Amino acid sequence: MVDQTIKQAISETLLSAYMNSSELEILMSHVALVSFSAGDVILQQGQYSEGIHIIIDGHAFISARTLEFEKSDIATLAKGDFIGEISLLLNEASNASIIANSDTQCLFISRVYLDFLAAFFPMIKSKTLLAIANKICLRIIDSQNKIINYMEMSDMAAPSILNRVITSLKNPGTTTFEEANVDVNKLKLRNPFSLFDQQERDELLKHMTLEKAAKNCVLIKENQEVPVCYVVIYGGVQSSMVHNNRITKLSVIGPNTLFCNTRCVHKDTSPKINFTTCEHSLLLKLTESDLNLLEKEQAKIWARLFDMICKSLVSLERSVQKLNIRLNIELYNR
Amino acid sequence: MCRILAYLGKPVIVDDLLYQPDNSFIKQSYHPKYMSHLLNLAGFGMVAWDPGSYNPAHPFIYKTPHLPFYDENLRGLTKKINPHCILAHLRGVSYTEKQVISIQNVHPFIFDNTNIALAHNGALMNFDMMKYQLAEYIKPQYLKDIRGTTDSEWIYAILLSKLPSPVESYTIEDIRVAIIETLKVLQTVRHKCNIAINSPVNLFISNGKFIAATRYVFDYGWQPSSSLMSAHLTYHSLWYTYGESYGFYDNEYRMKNSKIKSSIIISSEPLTSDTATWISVPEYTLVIANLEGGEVKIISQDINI
Repeated sequence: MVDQTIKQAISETLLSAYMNSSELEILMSHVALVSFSAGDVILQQGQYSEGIHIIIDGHAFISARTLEFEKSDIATLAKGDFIGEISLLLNEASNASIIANSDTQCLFISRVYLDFLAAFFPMIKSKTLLAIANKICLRIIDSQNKIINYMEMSDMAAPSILNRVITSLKNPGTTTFEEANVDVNKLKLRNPFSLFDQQERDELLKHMTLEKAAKNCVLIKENQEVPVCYVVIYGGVQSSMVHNNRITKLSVIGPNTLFCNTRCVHKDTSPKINFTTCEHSLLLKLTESDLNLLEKEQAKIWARLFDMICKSLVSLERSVQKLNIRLNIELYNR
Repeated sequence: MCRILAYLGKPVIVDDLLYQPDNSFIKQSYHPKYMSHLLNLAGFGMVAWDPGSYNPAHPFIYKTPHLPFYDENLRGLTKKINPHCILAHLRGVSYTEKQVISIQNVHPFIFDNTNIALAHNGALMNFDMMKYQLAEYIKPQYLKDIRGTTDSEWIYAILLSKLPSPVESYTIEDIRVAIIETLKVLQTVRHKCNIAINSPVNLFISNGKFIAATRYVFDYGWQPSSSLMSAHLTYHSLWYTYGESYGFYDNEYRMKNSKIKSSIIISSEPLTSDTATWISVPEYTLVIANLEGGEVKIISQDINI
């Protein structure tokens, strides 16, 4: 019997927008209601999150000690906001503390329960992650606006017209495993394919296209509206923020890693982030139609894939946050 | 895989960098937080500049091919000296009898008649194929000084050959150009030898007045198709933190914050488990820090060769 308070609370969160009533019932059966008094630390900077808190009543603030500031209050969280999701998904220590501003009530979904959902109710796990990923996409857009301000103040050089023309002429081309001299059996032992069982990885590979791309080839343009996913097999991809022909680096994505644009989860956001090869590279691509097909017809594959999509967006958000701090420091050094 | 630590700023007790923090430099030899598949057990080296010492332009040098965490002399020394600039290196090599463990292979490298030192985290794939072609780019006076078997010492000799002079009379711009030119030489020779395999070159360079570091990999993400993709092929990390001074503040080792930044640490990994006050240097980047009127100035540029 699900507690009526939890039932009411969860129906008021973003999760209810993605799940039907039976899915919400399953999710609610192992969710705990946790109360915090004003001043209580919900998550401490430097600690690993053991689950996800969702605020259902009250407020909390994000406070962080950074290189630039002994302690600064970054933002306020309110009803419906998630806490600890980044630390949990990246399995990294939290880079900020979350402190209750007033008496605050949260729903708590433990790491163990999320793992249970992944095994027995993959679509519920995916939909939980979808709600989180949507928030992440909005936060990326929010941070982007601050970064653009820094970029406008900075004296960073824009690439020459010739460079831009050369880059625009480069396009990835399709190839085969034989042509590219890739041993498919060895590939299947590597991440992310090793996370799927034999049947799943064969099915997944059927939907993917092998592409080779020269160095400095744009794979995902800034503001691109079509969802797309890539897995790097060899080489590397640089994510960068682009504004008024100025480019500033986010991070490099290496072999065995999946990356995608925010359109894979949030249909209305297209950040000014592009993904360009920083070495000649070999990649596997999932197009919009393949992603849609997997979502509709392959629940287990989709759940694992979506887990990776969310992690890639969380990593992207981390890179955006780091860039924000870096540009602030670079301005100090001007 | 090696670990490197560079410090420039207010005089610091070396013990506070090498032993005290919870992810101290010496701890990184046997319990590294990042890239922990390989321990750094093939030697420890340190050069340190102290303006109060005899001949201050030239550093104090300590090198040992032995395990630093058993080194009583090193521990004693670090509690006593407080230089304003340090470059320290832990050597990590693959576990095979083919490796040469000797003091000649311990970084940082610093030849006679120069005061510029270099330490390297990374490895040039198929270096043996490159060696003789690299010799063409090295001035004879430096070529004869190469005593060890590492690729790093050859990189150091190329760097010196690219500087207008080996002692003092070069500018930060000369250093910047020499580092980029050195990487270009390595790239040219790799092309000539048809080497296109992942080769990291995180270089740390100092003369006591500046510290410079690269975060760079040639042919990132590529390895022979015959071998399984290794988890070891991550982009080697590089971090920095800066502030007024480094020490034990609010129950932890970190940089004390202030408007004026007078001290900087650049290192392969943060010295503390909590990385909140550390910044990760982006890939394909050169960072140079020097002191101007007691304030740290940082130049960073993309390495696009």
